[in-house]
Amino acid sequence: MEILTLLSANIRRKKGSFTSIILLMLIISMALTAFLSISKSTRASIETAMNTADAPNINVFIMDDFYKPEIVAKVRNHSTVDRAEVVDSVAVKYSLNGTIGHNTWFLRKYDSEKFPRLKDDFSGYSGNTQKPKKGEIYVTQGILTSEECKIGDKIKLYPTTAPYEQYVTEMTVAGVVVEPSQGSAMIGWKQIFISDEDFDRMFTANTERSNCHIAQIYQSPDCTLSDAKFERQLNLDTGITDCAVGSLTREESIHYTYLYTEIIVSVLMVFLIFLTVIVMIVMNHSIATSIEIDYVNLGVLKAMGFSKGKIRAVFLLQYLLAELIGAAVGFTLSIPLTGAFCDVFQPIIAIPNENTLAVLPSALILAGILVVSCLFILLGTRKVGQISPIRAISGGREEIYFDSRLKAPISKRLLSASLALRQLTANKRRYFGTVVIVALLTFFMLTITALGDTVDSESALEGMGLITNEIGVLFSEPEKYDSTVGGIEHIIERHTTIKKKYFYATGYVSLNGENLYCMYYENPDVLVISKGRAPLYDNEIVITPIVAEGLNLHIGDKVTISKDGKTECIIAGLFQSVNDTGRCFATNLDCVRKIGIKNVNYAGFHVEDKSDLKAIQSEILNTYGAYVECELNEDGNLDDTFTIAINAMKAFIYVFSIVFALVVVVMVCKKTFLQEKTDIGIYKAVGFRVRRLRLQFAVRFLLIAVIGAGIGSALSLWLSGRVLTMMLWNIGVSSFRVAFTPMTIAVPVALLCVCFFLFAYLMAGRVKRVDVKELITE
Amino acid sequence: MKNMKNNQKTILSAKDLCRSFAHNGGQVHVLQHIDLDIYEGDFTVIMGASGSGKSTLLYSLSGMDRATSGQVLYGELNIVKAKENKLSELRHTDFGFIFQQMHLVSNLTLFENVAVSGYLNKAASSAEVKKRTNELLEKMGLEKVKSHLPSQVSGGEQQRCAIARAVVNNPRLLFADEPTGALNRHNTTEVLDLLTELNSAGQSILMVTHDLRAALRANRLVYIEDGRVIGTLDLPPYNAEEEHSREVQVNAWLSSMKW
Repeated sequence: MEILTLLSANIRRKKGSFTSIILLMLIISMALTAFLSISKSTRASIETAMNTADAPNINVFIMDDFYKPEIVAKVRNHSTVDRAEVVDSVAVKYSLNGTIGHNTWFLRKYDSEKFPRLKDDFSGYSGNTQKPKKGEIYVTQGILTSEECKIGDKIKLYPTTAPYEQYVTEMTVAGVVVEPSQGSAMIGWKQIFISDEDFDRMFTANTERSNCHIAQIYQSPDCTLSDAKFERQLNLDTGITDCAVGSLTREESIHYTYLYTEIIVSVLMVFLIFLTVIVMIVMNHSIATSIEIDYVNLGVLKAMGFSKGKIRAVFLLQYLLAELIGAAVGFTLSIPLTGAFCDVFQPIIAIPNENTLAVLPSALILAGILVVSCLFILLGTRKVGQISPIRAISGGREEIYFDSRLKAPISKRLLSASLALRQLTANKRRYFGTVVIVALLTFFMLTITALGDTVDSESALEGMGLITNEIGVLFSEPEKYDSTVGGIEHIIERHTTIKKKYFYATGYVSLNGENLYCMYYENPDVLVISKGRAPLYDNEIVITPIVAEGLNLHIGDKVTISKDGKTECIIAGLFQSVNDTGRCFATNLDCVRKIGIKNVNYAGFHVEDKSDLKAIQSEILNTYGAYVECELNEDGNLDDTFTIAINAMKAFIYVFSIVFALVVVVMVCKKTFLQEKTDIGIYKAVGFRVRRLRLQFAVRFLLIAVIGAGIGSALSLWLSGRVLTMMLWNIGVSSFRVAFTPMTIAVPVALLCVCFFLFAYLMAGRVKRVDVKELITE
Repeated sequence: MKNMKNNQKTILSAKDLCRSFAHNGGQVHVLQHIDLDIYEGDFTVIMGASGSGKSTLLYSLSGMDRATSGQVLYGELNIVKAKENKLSELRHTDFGFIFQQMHLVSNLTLFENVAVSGYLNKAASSAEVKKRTNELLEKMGLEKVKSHLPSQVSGGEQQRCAIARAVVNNPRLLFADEPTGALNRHNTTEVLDLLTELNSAGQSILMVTHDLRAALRANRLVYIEDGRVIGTLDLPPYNAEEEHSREVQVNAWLSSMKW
């Protein structure tokens, strides 16, 4: 009972710190539960949609020319295969509002049971089983996102090899369906659905040999291989993927579909871990100063017979109660937050989210945080044992509350600043925690800012192997490449200088049986090699560190690449690429010619002056438009989706950093203020004005922020690249080169410092309320 | 100043000064209609029993506390109505203050405690403040411990430092609230000797005490009871050799005040 009485009295008296702990814990609990729930429900939604669609373990896309029924028969008879079905499709390119799309779509007949339709507002399944009518197409929500189109839009479909006007079919987007294997905005190739009548007409016409057969291969239940190993084994034994234009396993589909969510959630989870550490530091500081300030009361309690255990129990209950309230409220608030986040991610994932709360994992992690915080509280309350009732009753706490004799000089000219520095150096242990907090916040803010800046930095992206070009020319008839490319270069050079040019093509090629994305260059010397050298000879390739790790390959190893033929190559080096999330390799044109690939079909130009791009494009199209497409990339090097995601993460981290800075400043200031009330009174008594004292207080916190920000910046310069590499490894970034500019560091550091200064200045408004009468001894 | 006492100018003048506090739903009138003049060069001591209102009077006169009504005139300035910034200015230009509990800033050295106060004076350069601080500390016998923190020196040394701080800006009036209240006999004598010495050099002092030995140093005693001034006694300047006869005279006067 006595503990409860003390507990309620403490909470009443320390409402501020009680509320702050509730607020901090609320943020952590809310964000943690929401992130875990998003993760859980996204995976569950993908899995459910996959099951509904009866998604195979491997989808293999084989163009009609290369389709051999005997290979499919071999696959069906393979011991690891349960069944294999072949679905006919028509491979098309598309154009929307005059812009030709980058990806390939595979038109199929619609099956309403496997690919249910979504409501018009995408809030769930509509239950409508109506098939598309003649001239209509059903697309996935991912297409609406990546192509920025909507229901009712007209889309022109072309054969994959060229935008031949005589073969164009115009169709209307009439519905949105869930196709989980390739429906996400993160996957380029799409399966879309048209009416049976349209399909039969197009498939029979087989325009420019655009018919494609999708072999859907289901693994035997007895086979325990991963999808990747299953595909590799199957290809080695049957050559099924060697004859295909591409393939996609179920595991890859899930990985790509979930990738966007995963990256954001993992970045935010790491930030959350840092915030949790900050909460522990804040709590520890709060306990330490509470004991110092309440020395007399605690001494009196001891004199009354309260054991140190009981006093520590009061502290424990007080902080634990605040944490529990914060955790409970945060948990409740995570329900709408999860829904809101899922709504944000749905246009990318293209599957309605089940919105299930991750109750158990969240509860377990929160319980873990509470246990750790109990340890922190118990550690922090050790000082209770050292309180002497006699000293407490006879005069209170020790006269000198500061822990250092470091004497920073006091000067007349910089009186406020030098006094602030003295107050800081004389109490440096008290501010240690705050410095650590600022350092952590700075580190995170700089890391996310660096990520954003790198996305905008041409040189940094180039350094990471991301090709930047403003003009891209796609040759619909690769055989015309050699006779045309010189003319195109000439057109560009009439307008501006070409800084760099890339001549290449891409496709899926097997590497030791593993079907990988391959980039083959006419000029492989443009590749940015991180280790070894570029693949200059016709028996050399370079691989990404992700492929090297996944297939246990090293520079100098011999590998076999196969497509329409096989050849042995040596790994000449490592390079970085985010294509197919890093599961790719690169070589030269001479090398892939040995396996049946004829020519490159793409020329990219990185130019000096970007002001004349439109004129260049129009000149190229006027001259060579019959067999080339020309696209411009005027701004931004990465997809808008990524930029939006990075900006969203930046906003989240900045906002929460500032909220945490505010809470930390409020808590530390309050305690400091209580401790220094007498000093403030003295300063006022000798003639210091309120404004000067407030300034002095704020300058002290500015100094703390500057020190913390300095440490955080140094940490960021040292570790941000590694942290980002770790976080972005899944999308193929094996060595993140951070593009630090003075502004990358200056903006977040200045923001934090200004916040600390302002918050402290506002908090120091309490100086007004300190009366010199405090010094009077009656 | 118009009011004069033996050709002495009035520094501070209280007119109909009242100070009340809310207590248990009612009002406690600690100071009631006080009229009092403090003269330049005087060592004025306010005496009275515990709870008589002597400290409240000191703080109301110095502007540390705001009177409920009435006036405290410092020249043309009514301290009761003065703005906070004006009072801050007065505290580092015209007034000095010594507290019973010394109240030195604990993380500043003795030198810095004095100099910081001096730095507030815009008219003095940094070098002048340092010179004056060193002189004062030497005068107070603190030159050997000037780099020490308050916690490293005795109570007497702390109070002498507080006195140095109070006079570093050459105030016209030095307020002292029971400056010897927290000191032992030896330190009390040291502090009183210093105050007497300062007064002899022309420093006006207004001090509150209930210590008879401290009161003997005054040349003017003001007795306060239940918030009213009920008597004053003018004495010749303090002379240690005549302390006994002075003590008899003051004792007799205090007895007449029913002390």
